[in-house]
Amino acid sequence: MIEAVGLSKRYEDGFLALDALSLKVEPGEIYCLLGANGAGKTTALNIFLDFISPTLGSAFVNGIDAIRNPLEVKRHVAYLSETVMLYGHFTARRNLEFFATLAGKRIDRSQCLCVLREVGLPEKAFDQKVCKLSKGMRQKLGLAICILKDAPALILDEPMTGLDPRGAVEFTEILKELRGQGKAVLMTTHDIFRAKELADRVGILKEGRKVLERTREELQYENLEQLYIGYIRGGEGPAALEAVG
Amino acid sequence: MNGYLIRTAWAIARQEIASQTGSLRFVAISILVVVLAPVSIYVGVQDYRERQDEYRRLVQARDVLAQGNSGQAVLGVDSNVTSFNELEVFRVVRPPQPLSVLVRGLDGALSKYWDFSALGIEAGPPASSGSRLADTFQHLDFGFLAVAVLGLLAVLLGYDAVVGEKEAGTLRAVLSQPVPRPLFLAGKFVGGSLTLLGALALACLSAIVSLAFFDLDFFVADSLLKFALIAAASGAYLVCIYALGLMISSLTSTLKTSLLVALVSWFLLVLAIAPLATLLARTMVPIPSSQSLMAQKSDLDGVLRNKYESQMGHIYRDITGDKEAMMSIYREHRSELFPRIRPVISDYIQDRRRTVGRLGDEYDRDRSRQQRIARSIMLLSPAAALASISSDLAGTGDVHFSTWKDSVQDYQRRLDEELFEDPPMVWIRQGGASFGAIVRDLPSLEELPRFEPPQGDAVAAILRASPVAALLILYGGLFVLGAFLAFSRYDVR
Repeated sequence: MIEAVGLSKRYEDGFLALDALSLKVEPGEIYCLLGANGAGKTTALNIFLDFISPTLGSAFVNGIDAIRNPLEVKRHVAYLSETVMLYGHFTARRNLEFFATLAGKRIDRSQCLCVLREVGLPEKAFDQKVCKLSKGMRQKLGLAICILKDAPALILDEPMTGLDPRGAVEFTEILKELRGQGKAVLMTTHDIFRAKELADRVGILKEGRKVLERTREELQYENLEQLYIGYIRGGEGPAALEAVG
Repeated sequence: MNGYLIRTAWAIARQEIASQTGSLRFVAISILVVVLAPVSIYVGVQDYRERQDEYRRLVQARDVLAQGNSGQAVLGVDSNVTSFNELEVFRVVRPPQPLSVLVRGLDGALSKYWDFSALGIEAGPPASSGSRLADTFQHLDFGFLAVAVLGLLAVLLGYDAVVGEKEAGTLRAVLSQPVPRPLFLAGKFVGGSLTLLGALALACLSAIVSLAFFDLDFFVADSLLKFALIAAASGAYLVCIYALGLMISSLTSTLKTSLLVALVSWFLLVLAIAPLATLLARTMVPIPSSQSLMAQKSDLDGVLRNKYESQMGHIYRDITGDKEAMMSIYREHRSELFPRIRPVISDYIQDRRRTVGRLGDEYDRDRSRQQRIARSIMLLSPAAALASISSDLAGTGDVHFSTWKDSVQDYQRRLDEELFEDPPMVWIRQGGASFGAIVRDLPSLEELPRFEPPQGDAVAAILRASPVAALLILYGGLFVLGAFLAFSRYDVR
């Protein structure tokens, strides 16, 4: 389970990046955080990963306090960023082995190959240098690293940005599979359509504040695109949409 | 848990080693070092052999003098009247140090000989002067390769260790795993250090193979031990500089800034500090050149000699009644003249010691102060610390310089006591003439003190190099600590 309770982050220059964010992602649930650039999505994820500390509030993963016990939290979280950053001059397999070691996993060659196949990476790419792989293949490799870690929670920062349609579909399927395995997934995205397809719960962030949260069931009766665009344009959701016609 | 920490640190270290050894900068600088090592050895050997030839020539010339009149009956005064007065008979000639082929240090810059007279020590020209090869490549030796070239590699490997990973995004990927920050940096430190030690090993191997081609007495236990210690000190230095790079990398947020700061630090610590320290020390404690000092001493002594030679002339005239100084008349009245001349000679010696000696003492004191200041400033740099350790171990450093200086000064003191302050001959001047009056039995060279060259004790050299080695380790420790502190608060976003 991933949980944020009243998370706020104000930077030294006074900028309020996150304003009392509270959310909960249950096991077997995908939570999509939507928001414009600078809305505070990545800031929230950074707090869970101990890349920054919050000004106020708490963050928990599997009940462990991410601020007080960040290393323990990292044992329970797998993280994938928008552009998977791996060691470009090493092969896919070597990167996987390296990150598995960091995650505290001891894997043999067959396990390694098995995971790479599972995410759909072509066999010829296994021993290719990562710098020669396409963005889609790198993203799959990143996902393989997450899978191999076998963490109960996944934090994904715009993981499908830049993927071609086929890659995005494959990626979506794998995420669904992970949800089926009971993983709690917190994902930021700009892709409303993918969020609609995947998310069990959607939250919209605007200027650091969560302005809306809807469950999959609630969204069956509302238009997420219109809600999102309304908030992004500067109004208060549907009212703003009416104002712009 | 401990198993995880060790496995993870080693995985990061291996990653660093693989990453660095495959980089262009590592390959390029390693090739450069492997190529430059034989070149530096060749230059060192040629310079050493030239200095060795010059040493033999000077020793032979001195020995010829010693076998002649100047050695059989020493007058102890500098004059060009007879062949008995060649003060070069006392000349101390310094042999070149064999390990100068590796670390030239001060061996080429230090005087090749010293001459002794009543006015004090006169240093000869630097041992390497006139050697075109040594002049052209005066800085190129194994020590320079370790300090400057491998030092540059250390800085270049360190500057992007953290900030490079940040810009590449891999730092976020690594730190999203349960890796404690100190562990990540420790892995980087171990990996980078082992990479550098690999490059150093290549340089050492290249140097040893090159030395095997020359007919030198290098492959003996003493030289090999010293070389091993120089290599160990170089290793400590490279680790220290790598830690500096790591600290810079952990203190900066962009690669460009880190590279700039790292290169400026390298330039200041490696290339600029020695000339700056010398310049500053010279400004703080100005001293005349040794030639100028000798000229001043000579002028002062000239005035004194005139005064006392005239006084002796007056005594001569009082006793002999002669207005012109003549040797034959002096001989006739020798027994009357002696008791009255003696106190004058004694006054002259005391006066000379007070004026000329004080000038020399002041010069020595200021020179020592100047050297102390320069050395203290230089020791702020790990590069200067390594240069000091290496040259001291090779017998070409400050320790070597001061032991020779002590021995030479000791020889001058003993010659003063036995000869110059109890001169066998004095000049007596009266009217327009003067003559040298023998006032005691002329000693032979055998009867006078002999020069005792300083002993090149390896253990003593190691002991003297130890404090600077400790300083180098302290610098390394401070840089490592700085890197860890900076990285603990590093913004990985």
